[in-house]
Amino acid sequence: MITYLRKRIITAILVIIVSLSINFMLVHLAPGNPISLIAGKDNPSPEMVAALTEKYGLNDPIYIQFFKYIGTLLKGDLGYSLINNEPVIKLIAEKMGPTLLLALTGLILAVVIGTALGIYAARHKGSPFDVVMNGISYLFDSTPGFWLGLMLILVFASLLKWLPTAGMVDLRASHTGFAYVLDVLLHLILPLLTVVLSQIPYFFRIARSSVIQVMAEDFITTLRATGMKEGRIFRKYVFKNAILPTVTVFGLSLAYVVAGVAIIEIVFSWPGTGKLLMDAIMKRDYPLLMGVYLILSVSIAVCMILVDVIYSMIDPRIRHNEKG
Amino acid sequence: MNVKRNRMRARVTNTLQVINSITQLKIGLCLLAVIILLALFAPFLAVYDPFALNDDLLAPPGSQYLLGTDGLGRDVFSELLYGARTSIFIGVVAAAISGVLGTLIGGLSGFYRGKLDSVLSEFVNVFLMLPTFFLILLIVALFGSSMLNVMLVIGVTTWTGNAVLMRAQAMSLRERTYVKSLQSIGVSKFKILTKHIIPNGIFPIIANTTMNISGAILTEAGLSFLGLGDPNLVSWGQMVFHGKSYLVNGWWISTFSGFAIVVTVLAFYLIGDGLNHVLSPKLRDIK
Repeated sequence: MITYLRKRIITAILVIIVSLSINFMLVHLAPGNPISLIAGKDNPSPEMVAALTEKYGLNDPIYIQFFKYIGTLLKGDLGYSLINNEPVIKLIAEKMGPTLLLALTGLILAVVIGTALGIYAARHKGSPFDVVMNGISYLFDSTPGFWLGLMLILVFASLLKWLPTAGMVDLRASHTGFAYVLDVLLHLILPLLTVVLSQIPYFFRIARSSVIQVMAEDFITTLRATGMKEGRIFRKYVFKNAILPTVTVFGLSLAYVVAGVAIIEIVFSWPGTGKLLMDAIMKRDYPLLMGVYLILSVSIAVCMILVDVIYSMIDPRIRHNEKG
Repeated sequence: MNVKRNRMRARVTNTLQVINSITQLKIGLCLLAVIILLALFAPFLAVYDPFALNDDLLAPPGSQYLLGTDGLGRDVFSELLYGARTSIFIGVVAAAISGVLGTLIGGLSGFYRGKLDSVLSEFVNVFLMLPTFFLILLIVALFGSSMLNVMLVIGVTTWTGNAVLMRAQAMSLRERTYVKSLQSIGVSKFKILTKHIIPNGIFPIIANTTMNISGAILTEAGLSFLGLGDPNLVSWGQMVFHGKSYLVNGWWISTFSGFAIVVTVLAFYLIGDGLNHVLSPKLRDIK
């Protein structure tokens, strides 16, 4: 288990180093000179050029620049946003809350519902429920999240007028306390539904195929031969084995969902990192764009390690196998 | 001659039987055939020039404009037809790039083993963890959003799945007797890899590449939706984005263009999944 974890942690550290290098390289390889990229103007004033050259040490050899860049990052300095000249890290921190609220709730709901449906479908393989659910899962897998969001707005907000179209709170109402929470929840429904619907097929299919696979194993047949009840076999043996792949992909999806909700946030004008990202793209705010990318890739690496730790603890095959 | 023809016929019937026995494959191929025909004959089917602006802004679907017009008076149906060309072209080329890269890297890694394999495998592991969509977004934002850039970037960032598959294939094939015999008679390693290992192990990569076409089409649509598509092309993602502003009084713009994305992605997805089922009898049971 230790060996396995050590291997994974090395990979994660490499991921962080590669992400940093990609970030660094992109600025230096992008068309135009890095100063105008960082400054956000084609013709920055000579004072600005001098100041930025000094700050980023652009006259130094490239490898020294790289170490300097890592140095400033380690101090928590991701540079300044060009739009409102605030530190990038501050802007991202402010927007992370709504994003996490949407991504985490969405993912947890999707895992629970998707896995439950998948298990049910697997235990009734070939039934009408199974066939229909399979079809639906293909369909939702092929649906871009942003379009699904728009269609939900069209039906539930524009036509039926049941739910608000955009934002996180009703700005005109200025609610406080419980009413505020309720208002946020009301605004959360549609974006959340979008995230959940686009994630369910994934967990549905993983749960379904791993249950079917485990059910076909020889030891299950043996248990059946001993006359053990189906329900008991499932609870005691199938479930434990079949849930492992879901745990693995949960960590992966956590990171991807945080990234993936960005587009959905834009559709719903949800005030999270997605909105920030859209502004950054529209106004070509490179420091901000790269800051978002960097934070995301580092958090993905961290998430993966956490999942690996949990995974190695619950899977006895890894726990007891030193070679992992 | 006759024997040859009979054998050909037998092969065709066999292929047809396989296609027919796998529902996903059957539906996917039918959908794709329709889409490709529509895209091929776009110039004949499109009633209007997809770029032509006219005064009928936001005309609802009807007899004059089959699927209505958008906020600038362009005919939605004609735009959809030309958009199919963009989506399919970008999807196929991007997936092909990722297929070739993945096959080469995975093949080298699995066939040569040793140090090269450790380095390449670690490389793949690291790449698997990078947030691909964001990376693509960043590169396209920095380097410009021409169609070529979009295809290249998608291709270069999504090959890891293929590499993992090809590596496994190469590792199992290199233990086969015929590969060992080739080695013993002195055929060069590189020749064995390109002439025998890759051709014999390519099938799962073909299935996966078909799935990757779906992914690439979705990625391109996402980029276009974010305003990072090629501005000189008709693209479904851009249409959905355009329609977003007219959701209330021009619902048809986003609805139809998004629906086109879903159908096309679904077609490739079903074909890829179907091919996977052809390949693995184990999966055939799961269905």
